[in-house]
Amino acid sequence: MSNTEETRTEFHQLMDEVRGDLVRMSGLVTEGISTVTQALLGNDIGLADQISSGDDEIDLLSVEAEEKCVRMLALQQPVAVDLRTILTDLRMISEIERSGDLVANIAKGIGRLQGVELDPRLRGLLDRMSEQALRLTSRAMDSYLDRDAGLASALSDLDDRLDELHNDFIETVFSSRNDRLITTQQAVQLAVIGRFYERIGDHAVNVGERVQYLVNGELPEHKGAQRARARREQGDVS
Amino acid sequence: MTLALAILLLLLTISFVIAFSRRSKAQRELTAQLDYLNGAFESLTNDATLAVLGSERLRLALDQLRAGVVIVDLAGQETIRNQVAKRYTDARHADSLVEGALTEALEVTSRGNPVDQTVNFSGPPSRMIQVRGRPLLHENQQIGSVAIVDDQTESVRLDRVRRDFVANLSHELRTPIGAIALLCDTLAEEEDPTVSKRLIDRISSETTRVGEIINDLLELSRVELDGEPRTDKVDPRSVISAAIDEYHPAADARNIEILWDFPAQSVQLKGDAGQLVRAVGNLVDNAIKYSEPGSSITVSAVIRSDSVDLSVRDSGMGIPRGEFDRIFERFYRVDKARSRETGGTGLGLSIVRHIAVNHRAEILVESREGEGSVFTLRMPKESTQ
Repeated sequence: MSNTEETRTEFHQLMDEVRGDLVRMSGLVTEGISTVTQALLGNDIGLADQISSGDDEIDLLSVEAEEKCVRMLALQQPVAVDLRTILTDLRMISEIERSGDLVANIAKGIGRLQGVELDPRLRGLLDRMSEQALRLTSRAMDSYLDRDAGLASALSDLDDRLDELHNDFIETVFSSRNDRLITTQQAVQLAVIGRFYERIGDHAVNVGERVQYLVNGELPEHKGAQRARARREQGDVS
Repeated sequence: MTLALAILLLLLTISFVIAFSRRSKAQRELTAQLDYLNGAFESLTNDATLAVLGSERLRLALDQLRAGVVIVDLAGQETIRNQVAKRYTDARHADSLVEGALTEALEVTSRGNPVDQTVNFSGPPSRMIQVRGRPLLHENQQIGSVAIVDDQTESVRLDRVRRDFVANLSHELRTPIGAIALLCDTLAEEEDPTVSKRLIDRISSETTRVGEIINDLLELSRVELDGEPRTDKVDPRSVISAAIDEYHPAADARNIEILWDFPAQSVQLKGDAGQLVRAVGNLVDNAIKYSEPGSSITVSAVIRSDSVDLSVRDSGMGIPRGEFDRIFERFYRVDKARSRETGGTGLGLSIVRHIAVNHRAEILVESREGEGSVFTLRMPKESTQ
């Protein structure tokens, strides 16, 4: 009896630890986003180099958190909400870890820009994209911690705003190139960097979808899957 | 028979007395022991109460610290966490990294090694947090560990401001004076009147520059010393028109239009009219300097529920986000090369900030690079009528 109790306590402790790991990973990503933007706008190669060590930290946390999840699945065979939580955690680990990689990619891109002097409009848009990507990442974490399905579903609206900013940014990169303020190589690098910010938003939206699944067991993909299943059955009939 | 009865009675009485006295002796002993135990118990309870009070006093005292303190025993179990450190438990986002650093510091310290670590946050606002871990030793035996979290952002900032001020002041004063000395040397040996004329013009412009810096420094120290400003009744509309009038020629020279926006209802502020005109004027002056020719700037007064906002909006180059908290420092310039061209002394915003402090007003900056800036002087309503 006391033995089962002990294992249950250990189980819940592991769940708490994984949650703590996720919070820290997300914290490292948000901090990474502001640092990398500061490095990008300040042409600070030294600061950009420091960012990869933050990414190593995220990788370590993700490996540890995943191991804990596997241990819980293997030893406890959890069901219902516990199982859903662990499955959500596993998916979130990879989403947040990927966002960390994107931050590191932006840092690498800074070196390839070769100290270009960006015009204020481009700088302003980069700043706005960074702010929006940071907001999405931290709101996604809030929705997970508060089990807030409403906030989680609102993330896609926030992401629409980031997509708009991204489109504006690409247009401005083109016009800067046409005005010969930047070289073609620099324009391509900037477009790639803009895309990285935009992708961070997509990962936050994925986290939001996982949180919705955690809270009410529904995924946006379910609707599409239902349609496909219906089509498949119809195909069988005809 | 009677005698026998009497003896029996006597014997009985004696045995009673003996038995009774024995019992009462045992009882007395017992009572004494009980008293002793009771006393011991009471003193123990007192000691325990004192100990509880002692640790409670310690806990309350630690809550008064500005730094966060976490104390753990040898098993790593937390025994004390003060108010500031509690902020980091269950912290989210960037703050969760402080809790991570804390846990790590205590882990390392539990093996007997001290730890010093600094966690930097890019912000905004940027922050610098020091985490220290120290083993707690009692007669050379480790009995636990303590971790201390110290937000050093403000002290580091003040140090930097002080250092930069001295360096910048000597630079700003030395550059024109050095130029004047060189120009004078050249002038002394110059015979060509046209060259002499050019040299004299340069000397005159450098002298004007030193004069402006000294005037602004004097103005700044006057504003600082004044503290409490006069509490005249001031109409924000007259403040704005006076400020605009002063800078109209400068705006015209750069082909910049100044628009204004007043509230329909009249409102009065309490304060020093001269200082307020100077503050709004400085903001207008900056807006003109950092706007593209052909653009416009807007000066407005907006009445809010608890304040009156005096704002200056431009659509100029904007200010990088990381510089927001530095632009009010004396002589601080975002772009050193460009600012000298525009000819400011680097003291304008410092003066504005001091005037704001004197009027218990807040100064707000909104800015985006490539889009423009808005500076707002938020005058509290309690100083209005």
